[in-house]
Amino acid sequence: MEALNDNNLMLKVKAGELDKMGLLFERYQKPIYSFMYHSTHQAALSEDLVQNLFYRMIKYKHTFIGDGQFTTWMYYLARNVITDHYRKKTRLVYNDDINDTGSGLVEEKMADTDIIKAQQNDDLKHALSKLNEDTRELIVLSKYQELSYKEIADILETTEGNIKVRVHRAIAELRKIMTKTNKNE
Amino acid sequence: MSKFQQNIDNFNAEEKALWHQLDDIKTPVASPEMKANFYEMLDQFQSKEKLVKKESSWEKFITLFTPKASLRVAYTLALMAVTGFAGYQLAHTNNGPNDDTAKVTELSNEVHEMKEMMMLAMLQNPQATERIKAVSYTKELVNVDEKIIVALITTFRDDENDNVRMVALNALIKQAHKPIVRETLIEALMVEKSPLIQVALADAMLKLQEKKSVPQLKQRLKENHLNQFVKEKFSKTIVKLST
Repeated sequence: MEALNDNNLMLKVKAGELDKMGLLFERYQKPIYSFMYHSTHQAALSEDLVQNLFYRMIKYKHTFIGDGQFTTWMYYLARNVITDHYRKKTRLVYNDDINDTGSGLVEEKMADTDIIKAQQNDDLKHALSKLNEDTRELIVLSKYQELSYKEIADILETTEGNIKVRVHRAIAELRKIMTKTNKNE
Repeated sequence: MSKFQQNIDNFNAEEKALWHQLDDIKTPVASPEMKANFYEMLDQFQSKEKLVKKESSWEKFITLFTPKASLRVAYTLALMAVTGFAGYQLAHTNNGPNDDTAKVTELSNEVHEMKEMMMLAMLQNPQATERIKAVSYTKELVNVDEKIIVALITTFRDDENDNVRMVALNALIKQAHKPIVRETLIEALMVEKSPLIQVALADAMLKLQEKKSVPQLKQRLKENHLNQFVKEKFSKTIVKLST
């Protein structure tokens, strides 16, 4: 039986076997939803963006060549989906979902430690929102998507060394923002 | 060395602490609608491709009179007739509040039956999109009776289109409190051939925390021809259900 690896599946989709996209969806719906969520911190919007991504993957299936990793192509499209969404909104808005655990509303019965944790989460989300889009993207890809520097380098079309330096800078910048926030409180 | 450690080996202590703190921002679970919407979109793409390849203008004209359109018209007309008749009855034979309540209940039952009939008829439609819509009608039904359950099970087992089967599976999962549904899903694990559905069934077992499925999953793992990705999925499912 021919291996159902990502590239083979996507090439089959490209050749017209659209049902194979279902298997790719099953494989990547969670990581790609996580990518959208950590890029926007809006759950409902993230679901729409996932739908938009898979729509584009089918519509632009002819652009998949198959010589690189499928995930590189997928994240390339995913980044475009996010960029296009915010372009339509004219400016970048990075919101916290009011319904998310740990943000905004804190129930009265929560223990003090939980309240502190929730506040720390809010501070962290706020600090992430202060980063520019490219810098935040590096944290999302390396931390939440757990991609190697090499994989990120392939997606962003640069070198592994460059990514390693930029991820370090991104986390250092985030720490500075967090420190500044704590001093102001 | 794990991928996680590789990413932060050049960080200082404070940066490492912040890196770990990022774990506290959890990803929420996506709603089931995300999956349903994807399969609906996929089916629309498939239908479009088929239309582009096969249909001439004349065939497009003919489709206007296929069950897709005619069933909808019949459904609408029947609903209007039932509603109109009930309204007339209420207006002309009003014998008090109790009588009204009985008539409203009767009307509600008739609408329910109409929806059931509509759903069962649409399941026979040659177009997969229509069959997916039929399955999704079950969401509107307050009481999903045995007739509907049997129709869903039949669709899940026998439909030629995997996407229709996938939507039927999702509908069945929502009815998993019924023993016959759970038994059907566990049995399906043993015979399912489509890797796509095999993976979805494994997800369903996890969602339902159905530990009775472990022997079936283990049995399937012994098959040499089982897809590698499915094997990994089954193995992980067994581990998660056994803890």
